[in-house]
Amino acid sequence: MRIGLLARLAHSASLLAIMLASASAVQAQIACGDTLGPGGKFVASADIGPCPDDPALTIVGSVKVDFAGHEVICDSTAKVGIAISGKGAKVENGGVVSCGNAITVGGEGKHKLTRMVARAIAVHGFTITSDGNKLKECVVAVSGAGDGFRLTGANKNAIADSHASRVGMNGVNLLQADGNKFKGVTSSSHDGIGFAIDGENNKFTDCSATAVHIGVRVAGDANLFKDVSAASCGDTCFEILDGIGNKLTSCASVASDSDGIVLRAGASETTVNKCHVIRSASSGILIEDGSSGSLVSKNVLFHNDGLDAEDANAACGTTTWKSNSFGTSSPAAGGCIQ
Amino acid sequence: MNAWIGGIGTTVLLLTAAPAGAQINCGDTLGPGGSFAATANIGPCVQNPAVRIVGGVTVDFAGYEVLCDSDANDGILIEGKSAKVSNGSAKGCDVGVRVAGEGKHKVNAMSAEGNKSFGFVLDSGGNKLTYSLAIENGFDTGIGDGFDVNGDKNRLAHNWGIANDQDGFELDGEKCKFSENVAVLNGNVGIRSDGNKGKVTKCLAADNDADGYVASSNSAFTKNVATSNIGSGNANGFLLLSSAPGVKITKNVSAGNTGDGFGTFFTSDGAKFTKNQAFANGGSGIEIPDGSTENTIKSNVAIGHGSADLADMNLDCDNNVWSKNLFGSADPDTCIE
Repeated sequence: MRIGLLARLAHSASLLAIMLASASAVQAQIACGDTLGPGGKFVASADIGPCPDDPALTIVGSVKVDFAGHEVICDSTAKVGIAISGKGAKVENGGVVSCGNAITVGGEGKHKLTRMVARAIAVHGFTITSDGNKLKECVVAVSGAGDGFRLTGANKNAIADSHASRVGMNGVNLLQADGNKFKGVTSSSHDGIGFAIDGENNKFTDCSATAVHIGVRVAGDANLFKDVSAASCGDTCFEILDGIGNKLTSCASVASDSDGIVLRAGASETTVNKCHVIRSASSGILIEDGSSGSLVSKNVLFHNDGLDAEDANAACGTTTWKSNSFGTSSPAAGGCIQ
Repeated sequence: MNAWIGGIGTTVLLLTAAPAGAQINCGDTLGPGGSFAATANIGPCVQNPAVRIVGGVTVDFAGYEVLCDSDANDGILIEGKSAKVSNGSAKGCDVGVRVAGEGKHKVNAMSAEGNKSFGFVLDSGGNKLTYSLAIENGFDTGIGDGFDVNGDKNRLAHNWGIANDQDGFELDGEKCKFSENVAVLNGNVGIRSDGNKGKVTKCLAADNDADGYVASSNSAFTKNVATSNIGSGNANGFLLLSSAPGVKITKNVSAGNTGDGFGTFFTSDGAKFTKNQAFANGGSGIEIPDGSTENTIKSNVAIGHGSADLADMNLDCDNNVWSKNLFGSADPDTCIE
């Protein structure tokens, strides 16, 4: 009986020690060069840096890190700000400033990043190389030469309510990345591509590209764009380079300096449905010779300086145009373009 | 002659003599009554306005343009009540499309480009304007906006104001609803709301030369995005200009602008900022200047700014109430929570 009581007391003391240790970890200030995790919870109490370390901070999941509004500062734009590895890290409410690559998301993936900000960086904002990560309310503002959100061989990630502003290259850049979902993402004010997609089965919903060179460029199969708009494009607003079964629905192309929507020769079985294409410097929708098997329906195509609707294939080839509203077309209205 | 016109008075029959598919000409008055579709561009027209539309009437411009031969004249004037006008554009005029009369017109997929003062002017109320574009209007006048809304209870949805000389959209009418519009690359403010009880929802203001959104009235801004407004180094995402008690700024995002994310002018009191997000703006995330008071700033997020994430220039924040905000830095940190 007495032994049992002592054992229980000892067990309780151990639990208390563990609890105190955890509490201590939560309160500790994060410092340059730290590796946080695996395990534990950390809350920043001040900005971190300028850091001479590369990366300035390493986070290894699983771990929870709350920056509480504070930023990680690099002392050189040749360095990485935050490198996340392992699996299942939760990182939130912070920023990275004056680094080369701001935040890298690698390891085994399934990390969650919420309200993370990268600004005044030299290269890429968020570089994602692992799968199953979730980014929400993240922002990249002002980068020198890189992309806002760059996914390299990264699959099944979800990025929502996030923004790339004034980046050096592309706002969102998918490189051999499949099955990713983007919702409520904006890409604005840069000379690159708003959304550059090299991959399959990616889904974009309620996204927009404004004041960019090309709004959306796609290479790959079965990507879906729903309620995606591109405005003030220095070149085309939507360009389907190649791939089978890409789908644009309820999209908008406004004020393109070239074609509004163009399906290049390598693109086939593309669906363009219920889109508005207004005021393109060239054609509203152009299907190049060699592009086949597409469905172009219920679109509104007006005020384009070239033709509103143009299919370079003889008699539209195997593409079906139906129920579109437009002013000018080639072949002429009443033929294969309807 | 459309069969349905039978039985209407002779005068009306004359006014609606152009059936659907007949060419619309300079100086024509279309309606009241009837249905018209253009078959070619119209003009350049010497008349002012170039084309007059009197509702109820349906006019489909089928992608064709109305061209003015002088930028002293208006392009398309819509009068009467309940006209339906679609798929046309007006170029080289003073005002591209003026929506007047008794209102309740429906204007869809219209374009106004390169007009001297305004792209669209809505002088009447109860109109619905959708999927229309105002681009590069207001050259050399110093007053030209893309969309200038003077009437009350107008609804604008899914329109674009791009590269106009002044504001993309200016809302002066009361109780207007304004959703999912886009203002890009305008020479001044993206979207300005000066009318009382207006609602601005889910809009995007990007890359404008001045602030993304400006309010000087009792309006509600909800779920809008302001990003990359760059100006001459000091463009704010959202700015409340003058006294606007009760203005509600809720669940908006302001990111990557060169000025403050959200701010008030020194004469603006009583605003409520709730659950907004300010990221990486060049100034502060939210800044309340000296003299602006009675504001409530609650449950907002501000991270990564050139100045303090949250700032209040009043002594001890005066009667501004800051609570439950998430931020990295505050000035002062004594009364901002």
